Amino acid sequence: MRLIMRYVGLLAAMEVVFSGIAFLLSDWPWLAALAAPVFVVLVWLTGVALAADRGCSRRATALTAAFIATIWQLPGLQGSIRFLSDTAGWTEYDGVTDLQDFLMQTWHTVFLPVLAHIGGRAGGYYAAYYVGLVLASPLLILLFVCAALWKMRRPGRA
Amino acid sequence: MKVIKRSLAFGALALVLLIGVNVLTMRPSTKELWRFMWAELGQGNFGVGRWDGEFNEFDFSQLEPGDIVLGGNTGSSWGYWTHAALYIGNGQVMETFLQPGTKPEPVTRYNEYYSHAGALRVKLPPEVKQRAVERALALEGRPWYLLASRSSEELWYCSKIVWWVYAQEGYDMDPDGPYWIVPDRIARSPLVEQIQPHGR
Repeated sequence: MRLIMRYVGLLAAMEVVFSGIAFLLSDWPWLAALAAPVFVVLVWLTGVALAADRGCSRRATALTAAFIATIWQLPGLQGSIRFLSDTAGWTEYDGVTDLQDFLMQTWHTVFLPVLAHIGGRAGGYYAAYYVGLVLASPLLILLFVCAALWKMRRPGRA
Repeated sequence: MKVIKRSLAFGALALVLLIGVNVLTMRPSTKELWRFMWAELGQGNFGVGRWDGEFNEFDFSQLEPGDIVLGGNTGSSWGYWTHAALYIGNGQVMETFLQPGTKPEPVTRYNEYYSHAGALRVKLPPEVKQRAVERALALEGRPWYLLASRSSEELWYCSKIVWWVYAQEGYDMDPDGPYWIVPDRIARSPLVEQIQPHGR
């Protein structure tokens, strides 16, 4: 459990620090946009480091990585889940959706300078950057799990 | 792991330096706004306030392209007016929210979603207002971000669009204002006058 909390803390600190940098550099958009690739590389390296730290089977490592990444991404993931729920008609758009969206956007501030360059709409209403925000948490979880499994051998292969 | 921790430490140091520079260069009006919002929070007023469920009957039929439309709900953190948009003609305003980004919407929204609504006429020649409308139209699809700075041309919020389209023409409606351009300060600008609705 200590290992899990250490990685969750490290990843959350990374997202807060690089989002803060992207926000404070927003007057220099190209400089702010650099925060996103640096952050993604660091997330990848952290996933690789987890595999070395954990030192167990491929399946156990994948589960641990997925668990860590899900807890780390809760502030963004709640917005993605609410979007799906509103779209499916299980819940209705209301003031709480606004707050959930705001939390999701603030959490993913690091990606905003990059997402701001994506034009167009999805479904005739949603701005493309918003779709990017909705997808960011699931993609980061996937990235972290893939990084953790990157150097692990598949069972049955030499 | 060493590389990750070093990168994070370097990032944290850069963040602290950037925060320091921002705090040291903060405008007095930004400090005032912070104090105002803090006091409002103490009275239970937070964010965009609460819509009381009643439609308002403000008459928008006198609007001309380039006018400013305002909406507000009670209990807001940042003033009487909580939302602003630019009238672009044909019953449409250019405004921005998180999900759709910057997008033309019907002005009738301001009767449906706000306890009180209003409109301002900009005291500038029609050609300036037309150019302001064209600038607003060019922002279609741009992202909403409540914490966007005044000078960022990538991130937007409602009153920043209204302020920016005229500032680009050389008419600043909030020259010494805080970091955030709040609708109340636009409403107090000497560049605008209130449009009185019919029958009021």
